Amino acid sequence: MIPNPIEAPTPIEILLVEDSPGDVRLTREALRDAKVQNHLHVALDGIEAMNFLGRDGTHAKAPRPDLILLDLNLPRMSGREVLEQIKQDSELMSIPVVILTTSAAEEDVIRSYRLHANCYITKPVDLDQFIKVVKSIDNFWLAIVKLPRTS
Amino acid sequence: MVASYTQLLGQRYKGRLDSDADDFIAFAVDGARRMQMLISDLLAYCRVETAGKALVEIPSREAFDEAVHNLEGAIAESQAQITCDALPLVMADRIQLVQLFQNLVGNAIKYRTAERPHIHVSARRGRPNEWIFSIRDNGIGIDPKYSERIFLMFQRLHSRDEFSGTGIGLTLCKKIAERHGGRIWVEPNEGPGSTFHVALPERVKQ
Repeated sequence: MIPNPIEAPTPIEILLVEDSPGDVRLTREALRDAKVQNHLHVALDGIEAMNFLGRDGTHAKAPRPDLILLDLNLPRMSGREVLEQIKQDSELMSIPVVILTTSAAEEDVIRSYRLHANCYITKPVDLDQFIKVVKSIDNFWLAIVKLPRTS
Repeated sequence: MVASYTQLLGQRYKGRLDSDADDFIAFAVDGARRMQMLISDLLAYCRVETAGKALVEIPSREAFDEAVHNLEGAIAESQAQITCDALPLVMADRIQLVQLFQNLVGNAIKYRTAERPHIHVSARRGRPNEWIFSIRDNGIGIDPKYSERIFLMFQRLHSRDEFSGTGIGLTLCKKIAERHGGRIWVEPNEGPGSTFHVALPERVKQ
């Protein structure tokens, strides 16, 4: 029995930056029964992510995300570079960025926080654990935390 | 094992479960295949050191011919035209030299445009006792800002949908070149495509 999802004034816009279609699908499945209504947008690499955030070209009508889930290992432009660009941009820097990546390397964790990631999560390999983690993201970042939403 | 049974699942049950199941099975089959490629490429990378043989003088043309022979399928499929100049004697581990040529020529074929691939291999003298091999293609080319990044492990410039690959091939080439006391780099062509250069020693210093 799923409790009624908490109604936000408008659904929360989430940008997932992830190059593995398998992981995208898993995240989508795990967010399906989320506590808070949300729209999941996907960018398959860093350049597409920056185009989405900059509302360039085909993304001219893209909504500004309220939360970004960012994988570090992306082709062409790494997640680290995307993080750096977001946190240096005066328009984008206030969007919370949750690093959601396979790497557990301490170097990656430290570097991400130094670049002002809001938090760092290592993707569990086990499916049940992965779903738990995504639901925790939903519970914490969408239900408990106040996000800096602009109209 | 994983790959075989997920494929079997796919073959037997595709279209007979719901569409989510079809999607999940497709992800599993693709994932298993990629894992196999990754393991195979990582093993090859480790073996550069652990299974490396002493360098002996060998005709590089023979290693090149063997690499081209191994790429028969890809060459036929792409209608690639592969030519080479006279190639010199070098100090090398033969198996690794074949791997090096096979990776570079294989990439030249893989990262092609709609045009028929034309790949030319030549060699010229570099520093004293050094030969520089050049593998020139007419493919999609590489933006110079990525020319160092592509040699790093797992760094790719394309998604899996665009081109398959593990991101280990060029790292392997670099490791082989360096084990031979050489180096590898890439330059864009004036026209389409790129040229990879590999410097290898001509003989062991006496």
